[in-house]
Amino acid sequence: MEPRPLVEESFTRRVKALTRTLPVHELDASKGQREGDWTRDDLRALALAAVDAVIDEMGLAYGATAADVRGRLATLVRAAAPGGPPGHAEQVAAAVLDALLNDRERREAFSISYSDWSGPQHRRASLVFKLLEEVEAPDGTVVLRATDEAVNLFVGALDRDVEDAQAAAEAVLESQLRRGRIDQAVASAREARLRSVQFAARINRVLEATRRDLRQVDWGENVPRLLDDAFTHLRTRLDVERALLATLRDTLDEVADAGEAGSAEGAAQAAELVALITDCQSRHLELHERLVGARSDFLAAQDRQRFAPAAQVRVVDLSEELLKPLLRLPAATAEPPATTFLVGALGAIAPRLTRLTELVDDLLQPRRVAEEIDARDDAPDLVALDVDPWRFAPHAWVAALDVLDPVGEEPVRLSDLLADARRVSEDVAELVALTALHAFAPEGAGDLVATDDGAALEDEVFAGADLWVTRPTPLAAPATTGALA
Amino acid sequence: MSAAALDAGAAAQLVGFGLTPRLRPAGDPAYAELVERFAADAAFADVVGYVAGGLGLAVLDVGASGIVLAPAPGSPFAQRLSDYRANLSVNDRLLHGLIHVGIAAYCYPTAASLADSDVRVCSVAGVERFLRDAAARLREQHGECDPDADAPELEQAWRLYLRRQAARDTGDGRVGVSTTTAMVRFALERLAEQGMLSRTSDAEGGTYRALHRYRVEVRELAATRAYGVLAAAGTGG
Repeated sequence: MEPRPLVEESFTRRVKALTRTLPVHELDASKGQREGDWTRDDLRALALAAVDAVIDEMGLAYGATAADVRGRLATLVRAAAPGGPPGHAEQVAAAVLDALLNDRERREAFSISYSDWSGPQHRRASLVFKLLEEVEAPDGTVVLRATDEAVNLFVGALDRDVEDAQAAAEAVLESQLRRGRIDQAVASAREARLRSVQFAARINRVLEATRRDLRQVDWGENVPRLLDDAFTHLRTRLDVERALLATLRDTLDEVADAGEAGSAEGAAQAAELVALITDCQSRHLELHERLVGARSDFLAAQDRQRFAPAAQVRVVDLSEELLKPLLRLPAATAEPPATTFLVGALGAIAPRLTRLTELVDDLLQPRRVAEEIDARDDAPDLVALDVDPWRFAPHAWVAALDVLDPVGEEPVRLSDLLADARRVSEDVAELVALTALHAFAPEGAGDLVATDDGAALEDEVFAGADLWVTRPTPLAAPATTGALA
Repeated sequence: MSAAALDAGAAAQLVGFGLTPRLRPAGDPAYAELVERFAADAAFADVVGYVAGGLGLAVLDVGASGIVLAPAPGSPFAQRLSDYRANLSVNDRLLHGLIHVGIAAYCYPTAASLADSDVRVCSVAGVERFLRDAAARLREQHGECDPDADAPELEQAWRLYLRRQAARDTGDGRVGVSTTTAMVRFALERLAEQGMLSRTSDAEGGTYRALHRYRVEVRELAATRAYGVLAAAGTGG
């Protein structure tokens, strides 16, 4: 016989709902550690007000910005405790928003453990969730978005899932209307609108993710099912709301006909309700349009992303797989991957073209004094060549190495090497000349050695000694960190 | 003029917009139109891919925040270290590179957060502390033993980071250019110029939002390539 679980199914759901309120309680409990007197500020209520302010603007225009929400919260703080010290209201508002975004943990999701008795054995499970997040709006502004969890927390539908909650809210509304309980109906309609917003956000996220990267979205099964469900859902909702509006208009007429005391208030509430339902309806219609476009969006994304860079199997964990290993490595080994990252992170950069007028201005600038010389960093691990490696094209380097390659133990005149190089190009000749000079330098790091026997170089471009260039047989010397290698 | 030629012109224009990193489609109707066309017209998207490819660029993402491009290694559009900061020693190059890895790891603490789509925040002081703490934890693991004087090139990166001062008073209120704080600030400013971050306030030495474009470059390009180079070098540390 199957052992009965220790708790009913809804118990775990309610435990989770309760757990999700923890960040808000922690926020309120942190008041004592703040600078100044925060005793009169109800941070729990302000947190709910913040979520409220965010949800109000979701789906309308681009949404509320952090500054909008902070402004609204500051007004509430000032109203609760007039005459507080200057800047206090703004500090409180910022603290509330920081807590909801989990800025303390660099905006990672909250992760809170709870007791789960729903399985065959008790276990400690962790609940991972976000409340608010910031996202980029198409116009480049950054706006706030409430997560499903936050909407649930806010509306208090702790034990339901999105679609059920919406159906329930509307059923309640309908019965309330029938019984003439308009004030309660207004409250329920608000809840129904929040459900609509929440549902729209869920669908939008899938569509956004698809446009961004097909690989992150399961279009084989989950998404088509979600879209089908959404279609069915929307069709029902639109029908229900149409019926509701009709009922409401009747109610409005009845209230007007009855002419009883308090009916002016009732009529105003009914009118508000009509506006709410109309808003709900337009949100549903908007979502409907997005759904209709979803499949073609998917096909376009598929077409386009076929040509995207090869699919990456796995996202790298930056802390564990890059930062920590790099910190452990010797500097010389860690440098190439670290600078590869730097170059990659900066993306594509338009090369700056030098304009003659700017160049002349630059050259006429008084010499700048070096800002600071760091005496601590004095280890020149690599000697920089006086050659800008970017000045020469890769093929010039290859050609220059070809010219120098035959040089062995028998000394060769630089003038002869230059003559060979000139058959390719002047750039190659210049590279050969520079390499010979480098080999002549006492600290020359390559495998070539150049010596001066006093013969002058007769050349149109280069002046100096006609060096002898040789490549001695290597002794069993330690490999040098050759700059030319 | 042939339709193909017109398409090539439009595609090149879109790629050009991508090289003006702080420009957004919402700020330029022509840009917005090309982004829409890219999404709607697969043939045009192809042309954009080929035009970009011919210039040594890969198209990483095209969306509401614009086109995100990645330079191929050695492409004229890749950042050169000598242009990032001239005359750097190996140790300095390493520190600048590490700081960029640190900024990304600070913004995206887990692999999951790299795949997310929300906006993250970072600051000069926050990133500096983060890197210093990570290095200090390694010191605890390895003990205080001094590096081998005969093989300075074997000194580990965390020692180098800890040896470098976070800030130094230069007497006129500035921090020294070679302190890690100044290097972090420099990196964040360069990323902001590239449209990867946007500065939000002066708090914590400068606070920034990490935008979609940054996440894409880090995820699709920087992290993958750096990881490849690291793996090829072998992790003998």
